[in-house]
Amino acid sequence: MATRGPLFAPADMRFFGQVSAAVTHDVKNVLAVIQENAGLLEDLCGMAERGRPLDVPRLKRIARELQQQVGRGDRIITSMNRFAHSVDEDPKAVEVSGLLEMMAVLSRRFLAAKGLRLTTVPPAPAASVDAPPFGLIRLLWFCLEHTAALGAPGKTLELAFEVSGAGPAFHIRGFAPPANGLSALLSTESARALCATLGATLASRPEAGELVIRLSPPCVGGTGPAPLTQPRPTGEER
Amino acid sequence: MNEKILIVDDDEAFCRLLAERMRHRDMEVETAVSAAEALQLLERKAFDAVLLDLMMPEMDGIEALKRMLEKRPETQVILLTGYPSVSRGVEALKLGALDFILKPVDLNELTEKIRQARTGRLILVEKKNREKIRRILTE
Repeated sequence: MATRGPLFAPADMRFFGQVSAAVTHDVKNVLAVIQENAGLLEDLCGMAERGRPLDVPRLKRIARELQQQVGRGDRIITSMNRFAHSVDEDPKAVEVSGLLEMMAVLSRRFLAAKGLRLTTVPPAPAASVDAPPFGLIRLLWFCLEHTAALGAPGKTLELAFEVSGAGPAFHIRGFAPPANGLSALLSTESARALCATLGATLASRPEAGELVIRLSPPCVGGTGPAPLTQPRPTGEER
Repeated sequence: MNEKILIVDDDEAFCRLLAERMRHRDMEVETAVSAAEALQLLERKAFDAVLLDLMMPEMDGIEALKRMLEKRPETQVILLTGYPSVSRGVEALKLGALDFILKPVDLNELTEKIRQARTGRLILVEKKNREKIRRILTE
């Protein structure tokens, strides 16, 4: 619990509430589409009762649409479930593909409000990082939020996970490079506190519109203890 | 005469399906998947009611409502929302929204609100026309 305790500051609670509320709107939208499909079936049945022949291809399209909405709802609820559990879990091996999928689903509404979308580049299915799940999500969200605020020329941000000689890292790409780099963001108290929880560092390659969230090398592959070390200096990476 | 309705929601499937059901009820319906598209449609056409999603990308429902009423003050806007929040509700009603309707939509309830909207709009249009005539006569 000691590793999770410091995370639950008011800002963490606000974050959890905002994300959860946004997700419930997405669920409502799924229900609204299902409701309209059900209403349409009712209309078509009513018309059939009045002598109009049933349009079977139309019925098949409705069935397909209902299945698609159930799939959409399932993805949203699965992501919400993963997110909800992130606060009651101790540091563990976080499966990266699922994490990226969850980030894409949960951030959809927030990014869409800025006219942006998120694409993810998942690693090999088995890749994982040892980290406190909620802390990792908070840090990734923090970085997405700040890079999204810069805008993206291609209207798309990319969230990728890569392992290089320097260790495992998440990369956010595609945002508009700010004139004065990302130093202001990297040195904020929030950034430092979030990095401290994970033993992570933030570095930017502003000219490439890229932010690198580097994790401690031992934390890939699901073995070894959680790297809850002191924060390392953050800064621009060239 | 049939009710002329504009549905504005970023969920294309929702717009399409609701529009189809309303057409089954003899309404004339157009759809827009963004506030910007809706404003363009309002530029060239008047509607008896606009069903406007409160939570939309780029321009949210409150901002869209303001711009719609600037463009056509007699427009009757019914806001669509998953969850009504008191503060946003009060803000929207102060700005001139006719009412709210919750998602998933109850079509009977919506039809009733559309009838109210149409009556409200006709009264406003008539009032506006009377004022215009009075102005012409006094000039």
